[in-house]
Amino acid sequence: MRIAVAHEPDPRVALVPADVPALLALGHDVVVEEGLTDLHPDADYLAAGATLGSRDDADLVVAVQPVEAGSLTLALRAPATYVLERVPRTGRAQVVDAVTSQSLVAGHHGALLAASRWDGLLGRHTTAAGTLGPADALVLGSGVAGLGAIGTLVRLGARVSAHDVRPSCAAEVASLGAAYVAADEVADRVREADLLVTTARSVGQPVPLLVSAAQVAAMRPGSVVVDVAGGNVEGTVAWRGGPDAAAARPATASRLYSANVAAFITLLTHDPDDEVVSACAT
Amino acid sequence: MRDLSLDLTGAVVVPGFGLAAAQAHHALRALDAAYGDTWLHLVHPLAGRYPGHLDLLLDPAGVPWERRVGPEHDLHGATVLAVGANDVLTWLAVEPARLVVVTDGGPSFDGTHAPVLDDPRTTVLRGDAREVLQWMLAVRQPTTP
Repeated sequence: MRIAVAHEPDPRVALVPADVPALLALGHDVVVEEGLTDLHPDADYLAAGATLGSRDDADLVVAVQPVEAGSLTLALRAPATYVLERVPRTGRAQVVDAVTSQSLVAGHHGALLAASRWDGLLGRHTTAAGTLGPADALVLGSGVAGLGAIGTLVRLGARVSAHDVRPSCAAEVASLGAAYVAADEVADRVREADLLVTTARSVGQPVPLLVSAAQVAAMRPGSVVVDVAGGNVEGTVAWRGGPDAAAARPATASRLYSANVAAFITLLTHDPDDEVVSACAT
Repeated sequence: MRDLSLDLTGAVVVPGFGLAAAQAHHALRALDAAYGDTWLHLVHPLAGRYPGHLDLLLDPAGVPWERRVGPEHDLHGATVLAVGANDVLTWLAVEPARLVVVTDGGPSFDGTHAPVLDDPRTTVLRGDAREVLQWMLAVRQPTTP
């Protein structure tokens, strides 16, 4: 198969040079469009065995965002022939689970952004001039992005609590050393939070509005709100992500996405009727 | 609870969500130290509920990075201690010489069941991971005086 890597407006790239040799070993040709990405010079792709060319004569065009092409296409979201967002949540499919890989980066980024905008110290510090911290962090939504945010804030020493509408999440939140907050306590915790990081988003569902502008206005002075999911919080926030929040860390997001893409092509090459491939096919 | 007579020196630990759910990472590290820091810790990329979950816990517990390995580590002929990791065992396709499983009997992430769990040579220690690991430390007899 002739596989073209699309030049696209997203700061991420669908295939990094390190994953080119694996595709060549499967018998494919890899073509990159000139000036492909700011992350890796074209020369790195050529050194890895790719050639410069266009998507026009490709059998498969790989991209992060949906692309226009006359051939088969692969992207994170529809429309595309293969949509990685539709990967089933099974152990076997994890290697191609781009939702997980991108959510991890997004959650980590959101937590760090909130922490860096917060003027206070994150962990507890007992000083001769008085005791500082710990910061109170609240994470709403505990999917992969939320767990990534919780883990990052726990490492930083904040006192982390979290809520998710799925009941199974209480044990998952506790497993990171954070405290689970019941639904009826969320409003109080929002008001008392120093850092609020929201990550509630499900594939194919509208992003739920969880925090109103009035609730944000009633938060403590200096508190920081980061809406990773993009749409969980009304009004002004320190940063609003969205479906492409992971693009804020393009090199890492691309490295992971590229590994997902290469794994998907490996499955597709071995068996076009593979259950994971079929689940992603549109 | 059955007697644990086999020697776990040099074992490979496979931790999973059950270790995290029980917050048993410090108990694991204490047992690791009791075996003279001879253990390797195999952190599978799918272990836990998000990538990095187990490392998040092993870091503050003081399990050194140089004794952590990935799923490529060859378990053939090894003694394996799986802690709350029944789902990880299905993904590893383990063929260890000895397998000790600590499990609370909870469901695996994707409903799979590792055949090795039914092997009569497998030692199953049932219970909360932290309590089981603390018991293992309490009954551990030093191998050298």
